[in-house]
Amino acid sequence: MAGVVGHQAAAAHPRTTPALTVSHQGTTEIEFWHGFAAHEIEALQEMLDKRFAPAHPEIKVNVTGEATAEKTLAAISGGNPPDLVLLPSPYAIGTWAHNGVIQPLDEHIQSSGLDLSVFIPAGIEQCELDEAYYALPFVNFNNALYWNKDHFTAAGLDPDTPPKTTDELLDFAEKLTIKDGDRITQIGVLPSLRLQEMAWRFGGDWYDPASGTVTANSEANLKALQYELDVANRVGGVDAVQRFQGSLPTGGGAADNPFYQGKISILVDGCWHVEFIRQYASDLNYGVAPVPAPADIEGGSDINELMTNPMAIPVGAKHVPEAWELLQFLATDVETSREFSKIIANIPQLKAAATDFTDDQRLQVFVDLSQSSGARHLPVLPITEEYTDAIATLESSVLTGVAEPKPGLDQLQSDMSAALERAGG
Amino acid sequence: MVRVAGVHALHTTVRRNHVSRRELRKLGVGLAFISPWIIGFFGFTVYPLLSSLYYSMTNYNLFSSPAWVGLENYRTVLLEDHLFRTALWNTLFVAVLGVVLGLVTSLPLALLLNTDVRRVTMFRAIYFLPSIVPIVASAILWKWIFNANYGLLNAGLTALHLPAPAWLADPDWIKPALVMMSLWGVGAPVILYLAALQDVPRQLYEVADLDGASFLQKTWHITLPMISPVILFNTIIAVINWLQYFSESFIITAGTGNPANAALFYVLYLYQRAFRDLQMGYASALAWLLFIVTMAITLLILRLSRRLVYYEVK
Repeated sequence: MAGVVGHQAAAAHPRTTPALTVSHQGTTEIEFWHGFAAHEIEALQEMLDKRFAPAHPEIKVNVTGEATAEKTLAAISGGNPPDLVLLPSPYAIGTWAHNGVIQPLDEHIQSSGLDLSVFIPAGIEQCELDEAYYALPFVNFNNALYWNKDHFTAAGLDPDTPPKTTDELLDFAEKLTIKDGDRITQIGVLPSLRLQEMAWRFGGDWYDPASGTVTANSEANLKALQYELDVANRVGGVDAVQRFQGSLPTGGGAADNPFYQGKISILVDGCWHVEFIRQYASDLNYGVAPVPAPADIEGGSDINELMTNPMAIPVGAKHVPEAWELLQFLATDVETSREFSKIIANIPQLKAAATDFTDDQRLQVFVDLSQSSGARHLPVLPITEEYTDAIATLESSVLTGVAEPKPGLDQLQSDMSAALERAGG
Repeated sequence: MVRVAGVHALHTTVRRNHVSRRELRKLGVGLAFISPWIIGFFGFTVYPLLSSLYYSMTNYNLFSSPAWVGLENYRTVLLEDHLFRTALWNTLFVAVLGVVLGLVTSLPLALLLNTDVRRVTMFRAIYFLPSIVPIVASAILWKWIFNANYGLLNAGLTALHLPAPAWLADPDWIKPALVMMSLWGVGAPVILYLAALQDVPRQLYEVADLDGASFLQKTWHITLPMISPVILFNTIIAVINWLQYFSESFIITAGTGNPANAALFYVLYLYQRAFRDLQMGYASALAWLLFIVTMAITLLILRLSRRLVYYEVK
């Protein structure tokens, strides 16, 4: 009988050996949903075909890209979840873990003997809520300072020396700004420097884990927000900046980025620009450095927010062991980490992949920052995403003249304390 | 007699049975034909509607069973949530501005497109076209029009020596900008007005012509009263659409409602609570409050319009 079955199968797939046919019968299909789009979908699929499939013939992975949060949440809530998901944002880990959307991974980590020290610390630390790991990191990203060397030369600054302190950044920003009457035509730096990170550089923080309380209106946070307002005033005032901001291309296309087009001299933004500039503005003469901190903050310029693309297993997933195999592969395979980081212009989540990752000294700045002692992440809370959105809104309100720094931070403090209490965090 | 009566009775029974069976079958067939709608209506409208009313009185995150909290969500929304007030204010602002501007642009446009000019059908097509452009495409296009330094709009304003605001970057101007953007899609109500205008009996105008009435007099005394039910209909639909304003603001602000929460509209806020914070109970309460607001405004309009709207058929 067995011979007959084997014969039939072999006839249907002439090239497969009987041994493979047998394992084919035991194949488990799993669903993997992620939010990557366009060419990234194919790239990820190729990597799975190339590296995961040969080692795991018993697992067939069906990959679905462009999965939005709503779609993923609806599927999980409806009892028909994918087996592995990429979270829409690193800030969703707290909310999703707290609300029972994704399951803790500690058992799998222990039983498979996964050594978490292979990960760059700030990346894996943000996957933890209440002493349990709910996700593993898959390629990281962070921000640094890009400066246009030609603008520096034109403004009489040394093109090879970026600002080292926040005071220098203020001076440079003013010197680099060019106006036509009241209208800014070239801005030294946009004052919205990402308050959530700037606060750390001024010695502040957003949450105190020891007491479990929100610390939004600390003195240091106020200084950071006040600093951004100072930048706005030095480059021409809130109204002029707002008008300039309203003139920036908003199509979202990489090619028309105002930094590439020479409208912004100093840009604080993510690591992907190194790759995008290579593709769309290869003539741009620029450098990359850490974002400056006040001179009196020790190690301040190492401070940066490291974010990751967390992957997790939803509650109710039907093929947990197989999903874990895939998750472990994606999170820990060194070559995949390197290759996919390059494809989406991010940086590796693995220490081993981060060494010899790039020849480009500018991209290396991001890699170094991600591994420095200053690399941090936002507190993992049930309200992290709401909190970051509220910080960004406050930053926008202050820099458009709608709110004052001090009352704004006080309001944020009471809002987030109430939100945290409501969420039971 | 008895036999006859019996036969007669039998006949009636048979006939009655026969008819009612046929009727029953007809009813069954009819129900079967509309069953997709019935199932859809109860399964996808009535049931979710009632569920959301229940969920609005619970703490519910989609994943654990809902915990009853009574009217707590409503109390928090109404008394403690300043984002609710911001979102409601923003939404009412664009609703009032959008409905009024929509009316004063679409109605005259329809009157013009109803005149006897050459190629009027071509003009009708031109004005209708923007309303079939996908929202995402038109939003991205308008982002460029509103560009503070290089946009078409500010180029025009500057040429006329008028102040040129930063539009989408300015908390004071983003709402008017979004309303202006919506006027581009005014073609949909215009089509309805055109249909109504063509239904106005010609003899009314002929009689008015004999009396020597001017165009304005005819418009005021004949056209507007005759199409007033359609004006009312368009107004109510516009109010409801504006209160549910979402897609454009979501695209233009990337879901944030910034600058400074000036574009945080009601449904955008509800969406954040539901899918960002997983507070489905709270979001359901927000949805029901929006329903009440919408209902109240609609009833108010219906009541205020009672003396203004003329129905030919009583």
